Amino acid sequence: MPGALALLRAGFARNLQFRLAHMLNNVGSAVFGFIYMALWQAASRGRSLGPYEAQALITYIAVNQCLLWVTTFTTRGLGIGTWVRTGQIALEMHRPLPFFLRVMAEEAGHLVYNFCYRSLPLALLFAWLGDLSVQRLTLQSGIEFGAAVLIAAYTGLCLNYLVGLSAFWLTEIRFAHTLMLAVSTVASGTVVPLALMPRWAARIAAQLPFASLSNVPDNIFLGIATPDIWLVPCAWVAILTAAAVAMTAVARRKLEIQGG
Amino acid sequence: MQGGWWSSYRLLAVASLRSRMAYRTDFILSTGTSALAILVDLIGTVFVILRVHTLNGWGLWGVAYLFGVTSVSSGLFRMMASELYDFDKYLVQGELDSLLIRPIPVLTALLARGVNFSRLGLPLQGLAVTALALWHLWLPAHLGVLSLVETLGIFVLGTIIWFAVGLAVAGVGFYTTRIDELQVTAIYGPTLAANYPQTIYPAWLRSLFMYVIPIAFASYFPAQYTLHLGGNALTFFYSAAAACCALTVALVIWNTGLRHYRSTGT
Repeated sequence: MPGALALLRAGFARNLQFRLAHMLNNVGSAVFGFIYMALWQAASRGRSLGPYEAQALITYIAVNQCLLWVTTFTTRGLGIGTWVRTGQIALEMHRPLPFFLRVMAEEAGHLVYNFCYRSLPLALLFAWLGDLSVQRLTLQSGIEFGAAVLIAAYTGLCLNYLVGLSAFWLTEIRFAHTLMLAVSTVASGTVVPLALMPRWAARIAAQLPFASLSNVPDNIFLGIATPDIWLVPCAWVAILTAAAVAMTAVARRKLEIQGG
Repeated sequence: MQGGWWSSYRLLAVASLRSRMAYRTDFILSTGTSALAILVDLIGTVFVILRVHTLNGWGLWGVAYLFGVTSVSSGLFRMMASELYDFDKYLVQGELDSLLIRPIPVLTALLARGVNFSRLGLPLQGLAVTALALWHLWLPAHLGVLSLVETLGIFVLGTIIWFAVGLAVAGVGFYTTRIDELQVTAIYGPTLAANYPQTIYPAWLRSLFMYVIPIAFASYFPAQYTLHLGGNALTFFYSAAAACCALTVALVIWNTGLRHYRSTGT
């Protein structure tokens, strides 16, 4: 466990040197938010859309844009693809710390950095511009939001880990990663909140793990979430963890058979 | 010299395609996956359109037309100037030096690395969506054969403008070394913005997309005129002028950056 914490700190520290460049690039990330906001503002024309009032929809997008930095904009395949391609994977899998724990811990450090230097500054910017309203946030919903963000980050990590592991079977994980990103963008509710999708699409998307990345925490922040919103995310946390552990074992066996 | 440039480009481009086809499974897999990825992107936009019905007077098929022409133009740029689009790896992994010692201009060498047909998905999908939109708007918007010609004009002018944007971003890379994040801001962002009518954006964003990253001239203004939603007969002239300006500025940025890179002794 102390090994994992050390890796987390290392993952955080490694990104610190780029913080100036990252802060400047936050402007670009904000522009994405502004584009979506303009879109939905024109769409709603001041009235409410589905369960969202006009201002709530703007806040949804603002919060979502901040969250993307801890759920989606992570290292592609958590670096496993590169290790497999260069052969370094043999060394990495034989380290004393369990592979899954070690890779996740290091990337978690990256996520903590992203939260501090990307999500928070963005949130402050949006709040200052009046796009992020905390009107509906209570102490309880705030705590729930925190928990939802943790679940979202963990889910995103697991998904990326599984994509990275696919490098053991595919030559290039770039395609798997691109595909996952594309599905995630739609199914997570980033482009369109689930409640505003056609009903059949919303029903499917609500059952997928991607919904935990955006739609769930955003709705909790806006105070329009029902208690049963936790079922699917928690189920997926369990499923993805089990899958990751199992796949790691399979990958390790494959590696050992090939003489790694 | 003109003939020499073209024949060397052709030679290198054909060689590049042949080498790519050697990895056939990889080629098919990458094409297939990127096609799926684009399809999902389209679905997202469709969901938005289904919900909003009208965006500042633009209906479902008008927005679809914007989406289609943007996909074609930006997709053609990414396909034909593929190495320029991936310029970040040249900067980071030092492959640029092998280009600098060649007898042909760096930009030519980069472009001659070939057309990346695995990126064919985006322009193809854009073409399909554009065709669908034109078909649906044919009667309601009183379109004719001229509209088809105008659409082709938008494809050409749009591709030039997107190429100019990509070139300028790559040129900035000579100073900043990494352009991956800049590309997200300067290419992905405007691509998203170009899918929707410019009137939905606040004034400062509209100015940005007209005078800095002139994608409004690549999609919105000519599309508006083609679909008889506004604009005047000079619209295409303005877009052509914007394309020329953008290309000129981009070339200046590229050459200045290249000179800077060379002068630092690399």
